[in-house]
Amino acid sequence: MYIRNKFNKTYLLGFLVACLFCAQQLSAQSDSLLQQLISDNKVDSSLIQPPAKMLFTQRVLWGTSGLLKNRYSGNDMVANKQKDLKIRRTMLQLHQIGGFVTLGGMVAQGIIGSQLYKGDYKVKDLHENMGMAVNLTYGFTALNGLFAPPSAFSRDKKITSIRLHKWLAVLHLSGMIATNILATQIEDNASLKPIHRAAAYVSFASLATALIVIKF
Amino acid sequence: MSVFFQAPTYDVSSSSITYTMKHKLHAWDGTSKQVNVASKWNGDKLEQISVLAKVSSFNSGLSSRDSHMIEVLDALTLPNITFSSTSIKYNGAEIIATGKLQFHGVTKEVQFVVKPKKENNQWLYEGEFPVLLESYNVKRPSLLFVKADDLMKIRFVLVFKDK
Repeated sequence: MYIRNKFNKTYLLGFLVACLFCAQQLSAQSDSLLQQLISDNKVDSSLIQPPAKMLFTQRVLWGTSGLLKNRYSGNDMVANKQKDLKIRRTMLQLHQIGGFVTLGGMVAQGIIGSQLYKGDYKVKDLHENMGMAVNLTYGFTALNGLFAPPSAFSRDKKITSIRLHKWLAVLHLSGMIATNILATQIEDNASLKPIHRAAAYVSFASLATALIVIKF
Repeated sequence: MSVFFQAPTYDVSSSSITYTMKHKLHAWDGTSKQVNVASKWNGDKLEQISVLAKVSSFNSGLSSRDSHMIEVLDALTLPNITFSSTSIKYNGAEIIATGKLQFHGVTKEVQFVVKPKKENNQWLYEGEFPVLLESYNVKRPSLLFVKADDLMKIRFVLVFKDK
């Protein structure tokens, strides 16, 4: 009986060792297959260099000859690129917040402006102050979009949501400049009011559309 | 027959891996057509397989979105997504594949069904499996301060040609 139990235990132990050995062999084989595919590079160096295409505003700061080319003290290019991407994310989040705040300000300005247009001159100062606030938030939003570090890629060939967003930015920036220039001339020439209002509407509509088309 | 059988050759140009993600506002796909494969065959039966795709090779059609994925997946220092099979079982017309998926530097065991399909002189191995981003320590990307869904679906087509 004792011998039989001992034999069973030895047999069981042998079986477990064999199973473990087989599993290890299998794992080692699959790992060696994987090793055939993995290069020695621990870093994707293709992502370190800035993309060939970027906005001129980005190139001025972040390009290979940009003002911030020696921006970090360390020589670790990977760490530097990671910092750039982090800055980019923060600036684009501020760009998103700024866009919504500006749009809200434009709605309010539209309501105030229409009262002024109807002859309620009590709101003239409020309209001017609101105009200043919208200009400030718009400028803040634009700076964060225009000067953010470039994305890791620039390989889009088709019309993308980002490209539409940029084209619309040209439209609302033009509208904002026109609205402001016309605002300074209305006191001398009241006939410019409808054009001022039209420019403001174009700015609002193109900014709203730019927010809607965006996808990450 | 199997004595003279030569293992099929992998066709990288016809193979692809696609991920699908969802956000409250929209869903999108990203596809890699640079999928590297090493395989071991027993006759015409797949015995083992390892697959590698670089995170940077996935193209969703929007550079800024792909750049965002590079950020959240830390692709500068964790550039590869790999799968290494530990078990390949033929179950009728299907294959049950089990193996180790390494994603964002985290390795987990995954199991999924692969459907082999013969087309002309080539074999298509198709399948899909889910990946929960947060279980691989991935911070979900967000748009307008709303995070994308945690679930990411991975679909693959690996093509092998008969010799």
